Amino acid sequence: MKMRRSIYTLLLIFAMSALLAGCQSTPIVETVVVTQIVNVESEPQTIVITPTSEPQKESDTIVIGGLGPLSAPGNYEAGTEMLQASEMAVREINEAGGILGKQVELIFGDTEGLPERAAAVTERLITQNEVVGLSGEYHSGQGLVEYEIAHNYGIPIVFAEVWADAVTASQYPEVFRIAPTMEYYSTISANYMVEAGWKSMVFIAEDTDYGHLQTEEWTRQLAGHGVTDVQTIFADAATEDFTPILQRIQQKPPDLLGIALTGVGTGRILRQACDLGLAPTAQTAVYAADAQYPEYWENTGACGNYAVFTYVGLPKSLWNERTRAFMENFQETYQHQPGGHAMEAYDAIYVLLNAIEKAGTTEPAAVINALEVLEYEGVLGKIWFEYGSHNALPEGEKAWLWHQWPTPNVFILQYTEENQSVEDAAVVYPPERSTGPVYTSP
Amino acid sequence: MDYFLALTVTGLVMGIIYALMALGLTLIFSILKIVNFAHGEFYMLGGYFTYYLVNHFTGLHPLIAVPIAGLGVALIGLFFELGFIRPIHLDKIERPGEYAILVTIGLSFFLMNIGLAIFGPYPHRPPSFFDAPVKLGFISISADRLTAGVLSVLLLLTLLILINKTWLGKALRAVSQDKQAAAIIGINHLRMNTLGFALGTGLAGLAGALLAPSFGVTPDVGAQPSIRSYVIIVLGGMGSIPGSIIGGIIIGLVESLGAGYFPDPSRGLNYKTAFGLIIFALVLLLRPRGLFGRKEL
Repeated sequence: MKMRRSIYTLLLIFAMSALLAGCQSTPIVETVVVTQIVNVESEPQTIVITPTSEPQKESDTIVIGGLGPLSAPGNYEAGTEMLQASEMAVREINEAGGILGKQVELIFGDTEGLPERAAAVTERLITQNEVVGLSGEYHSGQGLVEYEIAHNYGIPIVFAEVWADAVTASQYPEVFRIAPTMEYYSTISANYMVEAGWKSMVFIAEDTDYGHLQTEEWTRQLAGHGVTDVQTIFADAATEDFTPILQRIQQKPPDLLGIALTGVGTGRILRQACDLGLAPTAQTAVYAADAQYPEYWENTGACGNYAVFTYVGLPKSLWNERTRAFMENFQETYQHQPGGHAMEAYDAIYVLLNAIEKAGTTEPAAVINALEVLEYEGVLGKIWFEYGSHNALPEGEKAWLWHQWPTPNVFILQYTEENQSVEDAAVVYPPERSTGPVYTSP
Repeated sequence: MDYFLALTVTGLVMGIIYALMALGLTLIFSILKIVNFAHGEFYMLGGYFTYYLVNHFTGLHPLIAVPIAGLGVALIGLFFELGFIRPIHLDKIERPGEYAILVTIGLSFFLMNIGLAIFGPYPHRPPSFFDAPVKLGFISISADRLTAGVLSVLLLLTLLILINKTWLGKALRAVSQDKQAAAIIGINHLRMNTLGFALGTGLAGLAGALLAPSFGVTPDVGAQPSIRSYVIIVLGGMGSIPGSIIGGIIIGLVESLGAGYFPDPSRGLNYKTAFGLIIFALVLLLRPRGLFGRKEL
């Protein structure tokens, strides 16, 4: 009887946790069971990448920290690629002799897509591992926690794929970013949607900081163009069955079905919308945020064709020598085609380590000064930070331009053939870079 | 009306599949008197087994890969029961209730992380059972999902026959009611425990294999189905087979109709799980033992 009561209690706790997860207005934690699993660990999980040659003593090593999700509910697909790209950058630098005559050690913290874990991992990297700089991160929700901690300890941090405007808008001296901001990205994608002539749009977005910030920005920007028939539907990123809501949307098919879910959700919505005959059709186009993975076609089949998607890397038509070398080395090492976030993670490591080399020391203030004036030719093109203490932000300019790479890559691509690779997908926006028509309809 | 019927059909098909998974959990609870907190991970393994059987090893048709996947998962369940659950029933464990909870939660961590290490972080999907969507009058439904629904009905019927009409089923029911009395009439309750656990985990594996072409498979894909299964078995009455089936169908219907008719469409999908939990809470308030709550099968 006692055992039965305790089982009931446990099941009720599980059920109530799920209920709370579904009810919170701006939830960040996505999956209850998984959250409990990863939180059982007493110490944040870290992966240590050993230098190629053993340092003689601890002071002969420059220790830097990497951040990104390697476990659910975070987008561990993206996080794994970011880890691999960071690892590759550190290995190359060590093979070339290291920085300031020392080998580099990367300690990569698994932020799990959870703000509390991101806080614990960042704190640990700074206080216990004594990293001299941080780089990486994929999710805005975690970046919003990490930049405050880095600022509190005065440690420079170069964000690779965090879009929330607030990160650099904070104008903290320690915070740098090479990813697009939400406003920058949304301006390009909203302009594209207007250019494509879509008047009514329904977005299915993940119920996270990213999903909320993204759709709020789209709605605001589209309204500026006079497009007001815009509806947003939020979903837990782990949702399996979208059919009921797609059937609801089908009652009045929009011009565009937008998907702002990262990970496996993209494929699920696409297939289910396709099975219902909702999209992609001549009437309803599909915009999929996360269609760049090689597994995309396996998960969508023919339903994935004609999807329009965003790419924050460099399309093949714009590759430079470093991009080409990175893509070849990455595929050779990991047998996987990397996404744009991997390019960003790779460049973020180089940006941080180049600044340390230019500073001639790991002292944070000197590294921050070096970052401000750094010009680095990377996989993504030429990276620099236009505004900072070295060049004051003009009045009336966007606050997020502080320590922000002013021209990050944001391209709109479209698959026009089944099983097409990202490299061969048509660049449809911006017009000056396009390699195909604005939109190809089924 | 067409919209209502479309949502109802969607909910019904999903509900039947939910029932199949919940039934596995019910069997384990009835016979072994433990809750398997790794049930979602057995579901995950079923999906991966189908994927690898079809894509990497044999090139089998996915319909043939499904029972093999179910069998493979059942075998893992069987070995786990022999190694880790059996000591409970041999009175070798001082606090068996707590041990069962810890060992199954531990298995859940292990399988999810080993899944990430072996299968990688990327979502995979075995090929469709059949390609084109099926038109049932005005309702368009995925052939994969319809196939999964029909096969789930067949599996549920087979299981009901096994439990109610065969000697083996009677033996399982006897152990669920009173293992000592069962032993007196020559039933080895330890064997029945092993069989019950393998059967329960095999059902989770079959559900995962059946839904893999519809939803794809990732290392954490079992999290939501397992939470839903816990809700269903408590809603239907812990240990009740009809309760699990009816509970599954209720949850499927409530989720579908709730998402379809919730006044604020922006939240309809997000509250899908909550709709089922509201029904669950109401049933527990009015009928604490669940809809068909009994102590035995």
